[in-house]
Amino acid sequence: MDSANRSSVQLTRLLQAWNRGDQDALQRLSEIVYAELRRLASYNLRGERQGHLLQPSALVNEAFLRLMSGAAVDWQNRAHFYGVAARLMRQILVDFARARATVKRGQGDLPLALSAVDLAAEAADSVDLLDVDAALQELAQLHPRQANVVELRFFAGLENREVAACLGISDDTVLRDWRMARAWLFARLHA
Amino acid sequence: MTPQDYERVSQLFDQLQAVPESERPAALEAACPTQPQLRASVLQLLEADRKASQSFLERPAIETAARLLPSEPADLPEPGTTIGNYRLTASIGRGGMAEVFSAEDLRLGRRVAVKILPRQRTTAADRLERFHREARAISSLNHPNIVSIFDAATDQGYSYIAMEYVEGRTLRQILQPGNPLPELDTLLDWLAQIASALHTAHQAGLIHRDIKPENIMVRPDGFLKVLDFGLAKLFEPPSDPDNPPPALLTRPGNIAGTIQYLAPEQLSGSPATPQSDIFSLGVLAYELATRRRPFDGPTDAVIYNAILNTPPASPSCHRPDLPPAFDELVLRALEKVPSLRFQTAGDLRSACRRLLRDHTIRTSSGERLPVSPSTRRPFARYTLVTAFAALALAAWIGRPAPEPRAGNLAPVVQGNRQIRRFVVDSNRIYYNSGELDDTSQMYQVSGNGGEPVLMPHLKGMFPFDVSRDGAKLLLGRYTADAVPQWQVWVGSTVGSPPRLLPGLKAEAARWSPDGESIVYSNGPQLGVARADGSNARLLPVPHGYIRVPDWSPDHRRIRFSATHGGATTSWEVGVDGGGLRQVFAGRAHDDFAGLWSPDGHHFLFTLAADGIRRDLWLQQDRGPWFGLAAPRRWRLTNGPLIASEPAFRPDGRRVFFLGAHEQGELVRYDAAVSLWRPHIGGLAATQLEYSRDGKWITYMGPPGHSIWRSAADGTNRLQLSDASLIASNPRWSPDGSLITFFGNKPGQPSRIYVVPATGGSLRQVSHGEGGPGGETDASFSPDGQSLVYGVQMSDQTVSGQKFGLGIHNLASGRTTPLPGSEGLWSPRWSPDGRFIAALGFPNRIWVYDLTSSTRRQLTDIGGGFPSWSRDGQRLYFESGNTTTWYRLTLASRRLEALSSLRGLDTPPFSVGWVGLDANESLISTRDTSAVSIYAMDLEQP
Repeated sequence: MDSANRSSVQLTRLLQAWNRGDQDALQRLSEIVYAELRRLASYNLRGERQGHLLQPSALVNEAFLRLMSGAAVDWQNRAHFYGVAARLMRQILVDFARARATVKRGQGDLPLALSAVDLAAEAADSVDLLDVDAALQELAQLHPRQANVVELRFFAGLENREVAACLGISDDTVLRDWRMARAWLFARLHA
Repeated sequence: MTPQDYERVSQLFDQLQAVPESERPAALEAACPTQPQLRASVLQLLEADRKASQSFLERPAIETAARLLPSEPADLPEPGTTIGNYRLTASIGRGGMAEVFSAEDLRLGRRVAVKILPRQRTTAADRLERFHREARAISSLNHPNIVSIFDAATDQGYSYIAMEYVEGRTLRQILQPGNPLPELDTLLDWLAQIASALHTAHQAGLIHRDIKPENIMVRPDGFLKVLDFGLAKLFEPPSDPDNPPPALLTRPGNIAGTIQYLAPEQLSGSPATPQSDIFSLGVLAYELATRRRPFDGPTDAVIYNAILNTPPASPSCHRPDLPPAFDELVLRALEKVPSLRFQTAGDLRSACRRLLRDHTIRTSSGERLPVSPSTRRPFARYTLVTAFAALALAAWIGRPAPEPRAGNLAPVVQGNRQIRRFVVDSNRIYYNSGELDDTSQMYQVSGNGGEPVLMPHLKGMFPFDVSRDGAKLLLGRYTADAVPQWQVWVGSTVGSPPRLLPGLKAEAARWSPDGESIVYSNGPQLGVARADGSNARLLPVPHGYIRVPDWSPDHRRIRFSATHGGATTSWEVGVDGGGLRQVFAGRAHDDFAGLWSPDGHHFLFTLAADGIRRDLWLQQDRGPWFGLAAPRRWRLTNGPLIASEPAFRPDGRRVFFLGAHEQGELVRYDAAVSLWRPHIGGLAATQLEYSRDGKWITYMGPPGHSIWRSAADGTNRLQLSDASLIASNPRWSPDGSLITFFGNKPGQPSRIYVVPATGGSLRQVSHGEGGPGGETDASFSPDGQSLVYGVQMSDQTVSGQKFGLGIHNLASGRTTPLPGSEGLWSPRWSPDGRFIAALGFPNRIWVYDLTSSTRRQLTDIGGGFPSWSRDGQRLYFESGNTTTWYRLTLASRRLEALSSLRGLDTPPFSVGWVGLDANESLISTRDTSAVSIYAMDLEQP
């Protein structure tokens, strides 16, 4: 069995275990997916320098395809995967923003996977993902489902329909949740 | 705010969406009159909603993160800068991660294109090394449809590649709305040109990976140039062998919309193969024919899915005038499963050419072959003017000498090793295909290619020559009776049965230009006879095996080749037996005496320039200055074909030859079903050995004879020696850290090398201990401290050169002859260290016992190179003539025949080799060579 197949079987098993409530499985799953997504994000960010940008949903799809290597996966597993992937995308991007902020202050080391990215020049716009992250943590206390919607839409870049499928809610609910959460986050960030 | 409050605010926010803005305060007041703070929150959120809909929150977070990076690369040089020998004039485009400049080559004054990698991308040492290594590999590609690479280096921190500047438009520009689509015959010609370029690259082990309209340019003269060959890989981020980056993300130009040209296997992260390029070319063909892409959609995800799962509509659905054969061609290139596509780009090119021919025949009155414009250029002719003789002579000496022009190289009969001999007359090719016995068949076909026609009355005959009028054939017939020999026959091209020329035995024969005599060769003999076979007499010849005799146009001299002691020399002798002299100096490799051009001014021959492939050369029969200066010679082909059996069309303006693409695939013997099946995906490999732990393999494979290492499943490939060395027989050190092999540069004796299995520089460990023949076949001792090797064998039967085994101590660098090993060669150290298995002469298996310093012969039958089982109890070998494989158990001396090799042809470079996989199953290499009759137009100077 080649390594891609091995990792897809392992991933499927972990998803199933997590589904049965095994918290260890989530931890291990996160490690695998995190490593993968972190790498993808770093490639993707480098691509952006040249003005080429891939949709993050494609990014997650790509990770998914690669990790599952075409193995048959039911939708429930796929939904779980997106959930995990979205959380991890958030973690990666926030870590990246934090590293960027550290460099700006002229101290600290970059995370290894991102060290190849040229961080020398000044950012044009400084919307701070760290602030979004903090606000989203607050939102999760107030309305966990809306926070999930934000995570899937904003961080993983899923379409409303995909978000609905992942969370098992209607498209209309996703639309309403997103609109409210978006407004709340915006107000919170610009307060 | 509590979750309850938040929920309440959410509801109000939601309800008020439907209320006009001006009425919202009143509506809110009505809904919750007692909670002014809540009301304020909702109003604030409604205000925020208006702005938020346009904010960064509507775009994926990764864009925000990416914006933290500088948007303009500052690390590229400005126009006007001089990098290396190139002064940059202007930026002409950006491809992938690099910028392309037009530039002036300051040394040669020519215009070039220079592709420059931004500085920060070239800081990692391993990437730089890879960049240069791959650039070298690409620059070795020599094909008219591949943009030439002149130089690759690093200067002032910039890594750059200088290449041919191509004038013209990209296919993307041609596909712009408003431009007409190419006609079918133009399109087919384009596709054939691209496929031809891909084929050459694939043969050299390079995959383009990024075939798309942007990467192909059409010059104003109709020539296509494929750009960025293999560069896709160069500009990838550094690879992590355990976690290869997904194709989609590392491909340069990773913009939405360009995944349309990627093959399904590339999308799912598998390594690109030649079939992936064929798929991309299929997409391109589809788009050029219909202006539509076979897999399209509004988002990458939709395209993704289409490439992976949706069969494309036939091109003719969009453009009904396309013939069904074109649909078939394109849809075959677009098969989802790589093995269902064209197997090689060469096959695709041939399919395009056939279709082009059929289409052209149908749409025009006469046969029209695509002619490259360059070969239409009027050929310069020179006249010596006698007035002002001295002045004219000076001018004549000073002017550039005329060069021959060769062009339109293309296969006219495609096949495999079954094509053995052919002859040509003014219009037709007569060739023989089949086994070397009575069952082979003769065919005739137009000199421009087409459908071959069987000549059933000439079954079992091999063509030697065709008469000037095209009516008669001089034929050979192989008889494997008590003494195998060749008879000579004369047959008709139209159907009457052939008749024997009694008494004449010959392996090759040719009619004299007047048709009244025959020159023939048979083993060490050269003779002439009358056309009816009578009056045969022998001519004086040097020692050796005489081949390819040919008449001078004035029928007074004969030229022939003589192979002796591994070298072939070319000779000339008068028909009267006088004036025997050597024409070409002999070399270690295969020089073939070749043929006079019909006018007698030139001479066509083959020469193995790098010791593997053979090129076609043209030489003046007499040098300039009335023969005082050395004759000039020109190379007409430049690899990767192995050319043999050249022939002129009687007018001298077209040349034919047999061209072989030698290749093989790895196979494993499945004893349960007695079948050879592809092993490790049919890897192009021979002389493969597994490491002790079974996790790694090392083998010899293309380009040329290179040494490779990879994981046992074929991934993690690493090329350890490059094609400049003709390398063989790699063997692992017991701990898997080193690999030893032997190799030679063309024309030089072979040496033993050791290289770390993780790559790095080669260490030459032998220095001529084997004498003029060099050193061969090293293998490690079980403690990894020593090597055993033999001296080269090429000449053993003739010169009586000594050969034997030597033990080389790696620490001291000293080599000691193994006493009593004289006459043994190709040694293999046993895994337990006690024995060395080797071949004796003639090829029998021997073992040398290191504990007693004695040797014994193990078999009475002939054998190829032996392989030890992992436990050292058994030896495997094949019979030496590729018919049977044997297992010999040492303790019991039991010899078992394991498999009949019938049905397994091995390529020439793999003869005699048997390997074992990790489970001790036999592995070998199956011949997948393509051998075709090629034709080429030639204008002699």
